[in-house]
Amino acid sequence: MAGDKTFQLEILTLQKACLREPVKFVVAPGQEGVFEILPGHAPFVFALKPGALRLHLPDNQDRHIAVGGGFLVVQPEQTTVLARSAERPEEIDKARAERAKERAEARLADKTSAIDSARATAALQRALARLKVASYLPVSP
Amino acid sequence: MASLRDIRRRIKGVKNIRQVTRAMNMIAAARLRRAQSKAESARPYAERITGILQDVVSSSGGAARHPLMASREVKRIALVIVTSDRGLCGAFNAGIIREAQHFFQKQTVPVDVITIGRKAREHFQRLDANIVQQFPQPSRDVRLEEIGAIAKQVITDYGTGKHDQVFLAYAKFVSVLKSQPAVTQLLPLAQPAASDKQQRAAYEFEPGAEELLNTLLPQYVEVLVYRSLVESLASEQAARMVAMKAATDSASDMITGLTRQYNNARQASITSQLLEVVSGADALEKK
Repeated sequence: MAGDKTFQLEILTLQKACLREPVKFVVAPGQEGVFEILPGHAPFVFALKPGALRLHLPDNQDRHIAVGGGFLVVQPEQTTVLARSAERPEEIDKARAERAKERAEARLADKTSAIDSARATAALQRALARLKVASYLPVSP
Repeated sequence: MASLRDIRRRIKGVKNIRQVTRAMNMIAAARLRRAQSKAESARPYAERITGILQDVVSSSGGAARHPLMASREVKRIALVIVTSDRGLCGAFNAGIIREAQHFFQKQTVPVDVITIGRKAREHFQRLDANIVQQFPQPSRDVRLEEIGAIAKQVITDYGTGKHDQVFLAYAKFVSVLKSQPAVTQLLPLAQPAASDKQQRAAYEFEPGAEELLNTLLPQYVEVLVYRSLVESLASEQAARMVAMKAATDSASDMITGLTRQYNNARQASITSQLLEVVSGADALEKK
């Protein structure tokens, strides 16, 4: 397990500053695969795909946040996530995500009509990320 | 002279109008605050993404000449005009449209118009301008999906070579009493100014700088569009607030004038009635 070192993590979206907290490590869905950031990481810019961000807090609790794609920037003094959207489990409308998932799946399955498959895939990823994060809700009181 | 009843009726009418304008004034004030705080909360994100863009471009040794940043020969341009759906906001829309028109006249190449908001659409339809796309004004909470659609459209058209330059006409928010209609260039993106010489960390990228720009730049365009829409929203509400304040004040003035007139008329009628009574009594006494 990681030691007691932490670093500042900030999650920003266009709508709001979502979160600013010290964390022990972060697991993030990169475009080229899931990666983990520990304290003291070299300066880096990652492109994220829609997915679940896992923050490991100093009290050894995990917190999950659904991000709709964006960037993770590691700077010496702090780490920033610039997300197109960011939601905590309690903010997620599960029914809506479920519907979005079905819609995206239907669109992907439909081979006849001309669809924007990149868009449908992204929509599906976002919906899955939301559902995944929403399922973590009961863990933390 | 208008009869007492007429004056009373007018006073009532003006009072009703004043009530409406006063309500609109207060609603606009509340929405202005919301729009301002929206603009405020977008700032950290916007600043950070601009910073990162600078870093990525400079770290890649300026080699990353992304299509969205490279200028090319201009054969056709697009002008995105941001107005409101609703009127009753003073000279807000007129100002933007005037600025856009100015811009139009200066161009030597064909201009395609993309309108956001009903006012711009109606105006340029009347002029038979070439409207290629029209969007309704985004809802008050300016959702990302709405912005995304607009930004995507613009980027696609630029990418396919339909437009070689894209401009954005909107009202910059200066203060509550002042907004500045302006036309700014959206695409190709201006080379981000060389950052202030604070120590920049040398970043590594995943994926590489080129691919990163592919995702970064469209998002940056989105930020620019979002910003201009939020600012335009704030300007609109500010303009409406000021216009409705003026309307309320002049309604109040009118009511004062009318009340005075009403009192005069009432006094005059009392006086004349009194005269009639007195002269009637005189006539009786003389008999």
